[in-house]
Amino acid sequence: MAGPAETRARRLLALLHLLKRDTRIPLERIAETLGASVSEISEDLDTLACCGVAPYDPLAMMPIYVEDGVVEVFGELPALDRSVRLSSAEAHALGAALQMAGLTASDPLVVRLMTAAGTPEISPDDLEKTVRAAASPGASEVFAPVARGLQDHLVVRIEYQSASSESCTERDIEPMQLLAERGVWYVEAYCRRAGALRTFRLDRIRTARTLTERFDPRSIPLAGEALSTGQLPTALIRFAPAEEFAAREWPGSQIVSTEADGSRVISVPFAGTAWLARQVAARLGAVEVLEPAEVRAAVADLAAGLLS
Amino acid sequence: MSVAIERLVNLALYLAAAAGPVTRDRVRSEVEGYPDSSDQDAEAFQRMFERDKDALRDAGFSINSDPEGRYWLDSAATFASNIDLSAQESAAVRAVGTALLDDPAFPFAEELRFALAKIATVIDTPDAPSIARIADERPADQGSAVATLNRAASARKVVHFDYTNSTGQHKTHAVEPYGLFVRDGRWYVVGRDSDINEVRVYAVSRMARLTANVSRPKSADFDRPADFDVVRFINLPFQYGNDPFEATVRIEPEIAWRAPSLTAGAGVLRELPDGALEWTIVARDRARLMRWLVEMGPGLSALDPELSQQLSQSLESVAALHSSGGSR
Repeated sequence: MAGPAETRARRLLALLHLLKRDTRIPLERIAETLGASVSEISEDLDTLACCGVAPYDPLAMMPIYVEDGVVEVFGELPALDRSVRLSSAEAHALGAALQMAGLTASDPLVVRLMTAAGTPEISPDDLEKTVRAAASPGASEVFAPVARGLQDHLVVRIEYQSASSESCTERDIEPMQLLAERGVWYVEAYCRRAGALRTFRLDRIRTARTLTERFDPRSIPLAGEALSTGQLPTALIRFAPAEEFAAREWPGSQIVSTEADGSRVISVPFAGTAWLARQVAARLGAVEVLEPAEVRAAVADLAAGLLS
Repeated sequence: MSVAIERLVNLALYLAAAAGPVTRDRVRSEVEGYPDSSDQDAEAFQRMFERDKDALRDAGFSINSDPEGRYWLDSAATFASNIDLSAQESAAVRAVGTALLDDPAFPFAEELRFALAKIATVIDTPDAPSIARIADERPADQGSAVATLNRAASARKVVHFDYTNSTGQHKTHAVEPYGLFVRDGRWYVVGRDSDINEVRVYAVSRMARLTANVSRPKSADFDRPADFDVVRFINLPFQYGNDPFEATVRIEPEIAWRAPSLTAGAGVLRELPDGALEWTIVARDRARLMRWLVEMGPGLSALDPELSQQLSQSLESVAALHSSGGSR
């Protein structure tokens, strides 16, 4: 593993190409880009100012100084002003990260990025053979416009298939936050169709495109988690004695009681009946909703619908 | 420490500015930071120079040498070409980067940060609010273990760990790690277990006391099979078990667009005349397959008569259980 000197040298080399002749960059911005504190970056720049090439006279040293929290470049930089390619480990990390958003090795963006900046020794295809993250191929077609809408406050038009219907509905949404939980991406957005905040699973969005219309971000508190259960009503459900119960599959759930025969009664928060009905029906009779009646009815309707 | 840092940066600048190959002696005399021969013997200098070259290679520099002991930077392999990304693409890279850098379960955050810094000028867009929680069980422990496993897999070093399997049995394993994958909030390593000489999948969250062989760090302990592809070890929930059978599933036309995500590339898809898809897949757990069909629907059904009948009977029991009186 690299020692602290090597890591700091890498940071210095990485920040070199952020600097161009006659540029002024706030230290805070560099710190944010490189994941260091402002004081660390300030120290890095002090070190960098002492670097250069032979004969190490003032003309061959780094033409930089820091004043009032801003680094200024006042002359030509030595030969490293171009971006250095990704090392094998960096390409690995970027490849894994992009996979998590559905940008697989064959995605044109990944191909272009890795061709231009990746290491020639490693192809994205090879990377995928050893590290695989979640998200399905093609997901980037949805991820990218949603991310753009989120970043630039552009309304995004989506076709969405909910858990309760085979057909898609068209919705204009104002993206407010992207969330990835256990490999599934969601967008928390103000849905103009519903007139409220909604959380959409990205893999249930059939198409997404940014519109030209901009929106003013709304002052709505965000849940910050896809399966937020804070203020939701709860249902009581009973697990048959041998039926496996894993709390992570029922967000916010709590065991209320364990019966003499080994069956357990669980309370489960729910936002709408569709998701819960589907989860219960999927247990094929080993889980029963005790209350409320509306969820019991939703399960019965779902089962009847599947049978027809 | 700053002397070492300055020396590394100076070496990088020197190699980038050099008009042609340079000898070690020239490096020693022309790069500020290397002690001269009166203060450091040749062997110590050689070791220092080797360490510095390795550090620069780790940072993405491609340093070549010839038998005469001359060194030069391969510019084409070292410097990136121009990258042209659309606004949407930049936003996507930025958003996924922002999310994963702060996720303790993402094991490559440090390298990702350097990678993003190197392409910072093409993703110079406002921060998009995004949060990732890849793992929900001890995310920091999983992230740290996967970082160790990934380093071992890259360097082809054997790892040792204590493992508690799903039945609660403990055992120490020696494994040649071939690859890693994450699914449903859990990281897994795939590798050859040397005790049983079989390629197995281990859940990282079930490991304890993980160590990688640190002896002879530059020499590989094993070779990964040339045809290894970790995707072959990623199963759908109903593909675990000991009783394999072939299942056929109908995917309705309305949700056929979800097929890549639903099937995760497994099995064989065939388009039917009505626009629906027929998906043939090896399953090992009938009950889990039926559960999956209901969970991932609507629009999914079993085509095998036996499975379809079993699913119908189960759904009838669900309907009966939730009729007005139910079991209460």
